Amino acid sequence: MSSNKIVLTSSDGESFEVEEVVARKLQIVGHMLEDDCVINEIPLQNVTGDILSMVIEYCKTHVDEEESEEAQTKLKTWDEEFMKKFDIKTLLQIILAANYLNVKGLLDLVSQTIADTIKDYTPEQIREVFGVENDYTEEEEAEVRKENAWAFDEADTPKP
Amino acid sequence: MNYFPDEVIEHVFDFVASHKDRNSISLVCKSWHKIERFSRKNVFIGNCYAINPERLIGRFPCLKSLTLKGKPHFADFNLVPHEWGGFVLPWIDALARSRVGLEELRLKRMVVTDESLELLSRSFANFKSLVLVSCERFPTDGLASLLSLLSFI
Repeated sequence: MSSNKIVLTSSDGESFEVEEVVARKLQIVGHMLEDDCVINEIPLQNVTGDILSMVIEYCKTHVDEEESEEAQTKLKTWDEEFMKKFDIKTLLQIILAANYLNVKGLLDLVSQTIADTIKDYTPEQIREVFGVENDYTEEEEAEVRKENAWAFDEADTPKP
Repeated sequence: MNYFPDEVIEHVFDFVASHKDRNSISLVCKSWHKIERFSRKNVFIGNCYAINPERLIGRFPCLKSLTLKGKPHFADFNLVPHEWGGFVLPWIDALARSRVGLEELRLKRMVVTDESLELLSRSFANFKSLVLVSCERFPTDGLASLLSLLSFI
């Protein structure tokens, strides 16, 4: 692969010069490059500079995905450490960016991290974290709660 | 406040495995309830009389693995009459009629008849695994029809 440089610009005007192979990890960029291979500056409207820099850090690390077990283990450890840096609010920003920029590996990684974070959260806590409004009526919510507890709860039955 | 597209929410849900957490998610709001119910593949029912099969399928139409518990645990000590119930047949029948893509069935203290196994063996194209724990009436004919099916896989 050539060392062609691409400039990625965030919604708040921050620019990042990266190798083409790194930029191509963002599938949205990959598609643009296929359509017209002379672009070397790409504006990314739905992501801010601070979040984009984190996505780029991930892509740089994952640029050559080696098959060897050792390389995979090393990457996995890096992923874990990388995720530890962020609070839940930032993780939610990153997942939106990973979805928009279409970075599959990062999308999976952040999804897993968010799922782990909200483990054992109450519905109220989850709403607060995601900023989601409760649109159930009291009766509707009570009904779902009752059915969940009555039929689909395994609180007293540990998994085999 | 962020706006989360359904596809992002659904992607996160794919990584939420425990029944308890999935139940919590379903209580967040109506749209999460809907996304969750169509993405729940693995359903646990702690008591087969707590809900009917039609309601199960209505809520989780895409389920692939079902765990179903029948008689209370003291049945193990012969404290529950034999005719108490806990029959699996109506469940298999309803799942088959609704063309649910069942792949796994885990039963505990349920009554499993020849007819149930026979129906199970011919109703689900991608069926892979049957787990029986402390189940009653396990006739060899039914088991044979199931084994003959599984040997095709």
